[in-house]
Amino acid sequence: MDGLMLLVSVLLVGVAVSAIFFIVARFRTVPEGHVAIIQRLDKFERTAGPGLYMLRPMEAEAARLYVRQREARAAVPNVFTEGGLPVTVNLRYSYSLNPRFMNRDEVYYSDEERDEQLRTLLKRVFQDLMYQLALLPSSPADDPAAKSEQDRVNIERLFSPFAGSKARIVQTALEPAVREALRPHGIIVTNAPVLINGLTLPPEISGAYVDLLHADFDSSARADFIRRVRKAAPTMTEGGLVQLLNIIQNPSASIQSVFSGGTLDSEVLLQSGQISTRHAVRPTDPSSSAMYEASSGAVAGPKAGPETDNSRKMLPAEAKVATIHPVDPSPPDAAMDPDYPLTEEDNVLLKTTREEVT
Amino acid sequence: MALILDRYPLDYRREVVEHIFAATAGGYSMCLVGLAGSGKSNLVTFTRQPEVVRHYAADPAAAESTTVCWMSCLQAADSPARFYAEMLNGLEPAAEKIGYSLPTIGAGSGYVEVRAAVRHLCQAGGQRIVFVLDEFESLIRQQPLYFFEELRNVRDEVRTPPRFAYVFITHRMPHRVVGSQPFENSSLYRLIADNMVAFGPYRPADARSMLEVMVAREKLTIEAVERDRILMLTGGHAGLMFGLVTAIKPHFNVPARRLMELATTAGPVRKACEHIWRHLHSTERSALLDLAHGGLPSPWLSEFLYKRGLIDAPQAPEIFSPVFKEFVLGLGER
Repeated sequence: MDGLMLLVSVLLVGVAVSAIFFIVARFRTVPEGHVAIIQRLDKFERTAGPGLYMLRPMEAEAARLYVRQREARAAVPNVFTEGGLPVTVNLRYSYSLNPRFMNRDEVYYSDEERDEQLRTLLKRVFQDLMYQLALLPSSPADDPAAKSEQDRVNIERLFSPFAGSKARIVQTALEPAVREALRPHGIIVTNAPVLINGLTLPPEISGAYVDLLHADFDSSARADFIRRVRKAAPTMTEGGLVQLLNIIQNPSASIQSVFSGGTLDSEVLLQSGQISTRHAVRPTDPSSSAMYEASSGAVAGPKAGPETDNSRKMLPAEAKVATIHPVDPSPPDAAMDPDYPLTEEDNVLLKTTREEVT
Repeated sequence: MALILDRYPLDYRREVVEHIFAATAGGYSMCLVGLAGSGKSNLVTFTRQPEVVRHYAADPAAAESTTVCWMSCLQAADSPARFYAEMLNGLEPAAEKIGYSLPTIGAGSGYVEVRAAVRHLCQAGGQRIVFVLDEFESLIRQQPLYFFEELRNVRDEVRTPPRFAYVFITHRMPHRVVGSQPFENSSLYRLIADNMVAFGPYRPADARSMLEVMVAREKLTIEAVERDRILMLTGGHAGLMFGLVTAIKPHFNVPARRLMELATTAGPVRKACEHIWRHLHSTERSALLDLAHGGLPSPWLSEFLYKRGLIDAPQAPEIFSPVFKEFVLGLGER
């Protein structure tokens, strides 16, 4: 009898200890800046914030989400300027994640999937913004019918609305638009401003420009440049192409730096269309891809969008500038209308009455 | 510069005038592409004279029914309404021939009225109209494609038999002029695409007679050697000759070095050079700069420049005028 009692007691103690261990084992802690994703029988059940929590029966912790505020930079590709030039808009902003606003699938997104989602959402923000800005009346400086000499070499018109009078509107409207677009997906933009860090030109256009520069703007190189621009930016308007042609024919070192380097920084965009050497952009180089990675956080945030072409030829600062012919030199006060380059076909088309050729 | 017909023989610019009448008689439209100041507008004034029409028309009946109408697009290029009003004015000579009263433009742009007028003049009135649109480039720069489709329709409505032809006058190849939309996408361009003719330099005889007209009009006296020197220095270009004569009159015995300097100092010669330069293709400007500094354009470009009258010979290219070359050299030094 005593032996049986002892056995029962031991069993009871064992069960009790096991139960205590089992209950204690159900408690988990979530570190600050993270959220636990809990599943029951492999199905999403709930999330648990930082601190202690207990797994209920048949629950298991599936993953953890890093939700701390972080600085991020994103490159939004294929945003069209009013001139039809497709540029990559480089953004800087600060955000945190809140799974309460996410749908079930978004909770499980990997970093790459969330990057892709962010790019899509930001692209849509810019598309809507460009559409609304296009409806706005143009300022005199943006008037496509303006014929002043200054207007002909006006970088604003090519990059509007990111440069010129609409740039401030873009900057002001951007933050609430981004905030509103990202919030339903659990991406909460913080109080730090959303900034446009600059624009990156299509690498095909920068590359074509560098080749044109090296060919000293000769006629066949210019024809090739136009062909490559049209291929890289098929939606570019004729007016935009004219602006681009007018701008790149300006032999200033600053313009060369911008178009050969392929990037315009925010200070250049917010000036009144004049590019000064003070703001000449650093040509991109192989290490520059690190510029657009998240600057904080153990778990990487949104990564950079399409990388710039780091194999693009760079223009040596000391070469070429002094030797380039003023390919479209104007006598003072002369106003010349732009034209497309001649090709060999034009010689075939042009008939003559001069006896020696006929 | 006014052209006084009785100072010019009927074979003045014969090679170009023949081409104009031959093409338009068959109902073909064409484009004359010429340097600024080379005398294109003067030539049009010449071709509008009844004696010239009679001389070049195929037969007396054709001569009687053919009218060369003209308008400048320069002041009317920004507004279709203004353009069509000017076009109606340009049809006045043809209307007077048959006593037709041109319609008044109502509420619209004038397109309907112009079409009606052309239909009446050509079909009911039996007229053949050669409509010269001078400074056509200004239209290309400013008007959208649909406007050119309208101009094409005006001609198409009277094409059976062909009774209406356009002659566009431009400084540059029309499809290379940048406009709000590419002109070469228009059906109007297709009318002239196979008939773009370079308005080349004067034949020596024409240049000589042009200079004599200028000198006579100003009641000046010029020695034969001085006249030859002016012709040589200006390459026979009307605008350059006019500028040079204006700059040095009444005494033409000026050292050659001094004459060349006129290309780079403010005055009528430099103004004439700038006028030419301003209306060149950018490709041509680059090529001339290269040429002036010892470079050579590619063979096709040399041939193109020769057709345009910018160089003397495609095989050994040299800028057509030493004075203009001096101007180009002066640009390169800035």
